[in-house]
Amino acid sequence: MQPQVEIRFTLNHRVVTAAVPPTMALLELVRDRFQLTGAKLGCGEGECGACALLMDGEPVLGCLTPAVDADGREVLTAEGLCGAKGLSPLQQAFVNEGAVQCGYCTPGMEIAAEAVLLEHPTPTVEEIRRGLEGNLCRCTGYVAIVEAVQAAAGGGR
Amino acid sequence: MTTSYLRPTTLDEALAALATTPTARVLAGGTDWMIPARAGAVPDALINIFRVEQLRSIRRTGDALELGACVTVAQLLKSKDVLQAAPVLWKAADRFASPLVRSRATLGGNLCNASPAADLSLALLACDATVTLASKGGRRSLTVEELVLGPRKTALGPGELLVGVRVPIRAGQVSRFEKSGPRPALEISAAAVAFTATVEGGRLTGVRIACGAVAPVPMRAKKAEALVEGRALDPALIEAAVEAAAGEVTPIDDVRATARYRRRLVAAYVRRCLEACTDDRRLHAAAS
Ligand SMILES: Cc1cc2nc3c(=O)[nH]c(=O)nc-3n(C[C@H](O)[C@H](O)[C@H](O)COP(=O)(O)OP(=O)(O)OC[C@H]3O[C@@H](n4cnc5c(N)ncnc54)[C@H](O)[C@@H]3O)c2cc1C
Ligand code: FES
Ligand code: FES
Repeated sequence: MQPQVEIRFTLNHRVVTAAVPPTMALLELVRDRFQLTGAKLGCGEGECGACALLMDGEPVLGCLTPAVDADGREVLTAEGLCGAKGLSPLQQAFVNEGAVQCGYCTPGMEIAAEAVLLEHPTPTVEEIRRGLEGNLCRCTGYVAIVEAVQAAAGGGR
Repeated sequence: MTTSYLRPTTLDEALAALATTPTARVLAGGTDWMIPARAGAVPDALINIFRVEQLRSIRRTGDALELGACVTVAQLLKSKDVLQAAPVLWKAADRFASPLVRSRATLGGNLCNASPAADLSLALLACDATVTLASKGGRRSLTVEELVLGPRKTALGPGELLVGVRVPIRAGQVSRFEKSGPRPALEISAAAVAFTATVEGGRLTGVRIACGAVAPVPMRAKKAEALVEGRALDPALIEAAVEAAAGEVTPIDDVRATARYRRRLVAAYVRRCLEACTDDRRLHAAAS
């Protein structure tokens, strides 16, 4: 049997606690224990980015990050990007630019895009593309997604 | 069986924990460890070293770059010192996976996982890096060749932790990192070549041609290196070195590529590296 490790961390701006086995993935923790189902399980092997989360401002894989390592950190999911008034400017830009089709990749894309904007507030197209290179989308062809990030950087029209 | 879990915050605590439980599994970023762990390969003890601050530092001393074992690929990419003092390592980091992996994949994990396709180990081999292993009993220093013994096999003894990497700084070094794949992101190398040399008056010295994913461990193509060492390159010499390198690697067929294709990739990459040295403009690009 695996021990349950007590952890305490900030999840979408709220301090939470959980007891987790060391091999549990952070994705499982946020989806199954906290019902934050934005982040998705795609491949489970680091290849698709559908599970992306922000940890202390850095983009990480929910599927390959041990939940125990969230202890003492700040974790943000796509739900956490929303403000009191609803969608964040970045999320609204995804809607406006038609960057969402089936939506499976979208929460992960938004997290990766948020990380790009944290590092480069006015990113070049190349910086956006490099920032999203770990996120696969089967539907959109990526162009609208890149445009959405550009639009968000340009003041969230 | 119960698994114990520890998250030391200092190196001394980590080494003490390893000394009491020598069979413990060390966890760094977990990008290699999580997949087998989730499939049920759970160790009896787990020691999480990812947030030991002492293992996260990048320091440039007079003649070397000192990197902690838990330095991440993202940290390497953000470091001007790495770009300037170990450009081949920076280039390997730039071609490594995706930002989501780079934020957690560590130098020590790449070395200790001992994959034949480990890109950072390959780059470190091409810059004559040494690694420091520590245990409660003391420290020792090994070359990358001495550390990585076979697929998933290292020279780490019980209770030993890889704590750091030292890269000697070579002035005027040119370098290239070539890796297979149809797009830059998320490619596990089917073959890779890390190349460093110093070029003076058209002659190459200190030539290192390290080949990855074409042998049980990252290996140097020493015959090819010897052919070009100290000589002025011409097309015939380049072809001889290319042939030597393709001849000395020992690739296998697997899901990613056939042995024959891997050999051809090595040949193409070695040719590209050497030809760049004969062309001032490309040389300049390789040196940056
Ligand atoms: C999607 C994806 C893409 C990838 N792409 C690449 C790529 O392009 N190039 C590449 O080379 N690799 C790639 N990898 C493999 C992996 O990310 C790297 O090998 C990484 O550097 C491992 O570091 P880690 O900190 O995550 O290791 P962990 O998973 O934490 O550990 C790996 C192994 O090393 C041991 N270990 C770790 N640190 C130490 C230490 N300091 N002392 C002793 N033992 C230690 C652990 O016990 C474990 O056995 C990829 C992986 C994924 C999932
Ligand atoms: S589910 Fe994590 S990368 Fe695909
Ligand atoms: S919108 Fe369907 S996968 Fe991206």
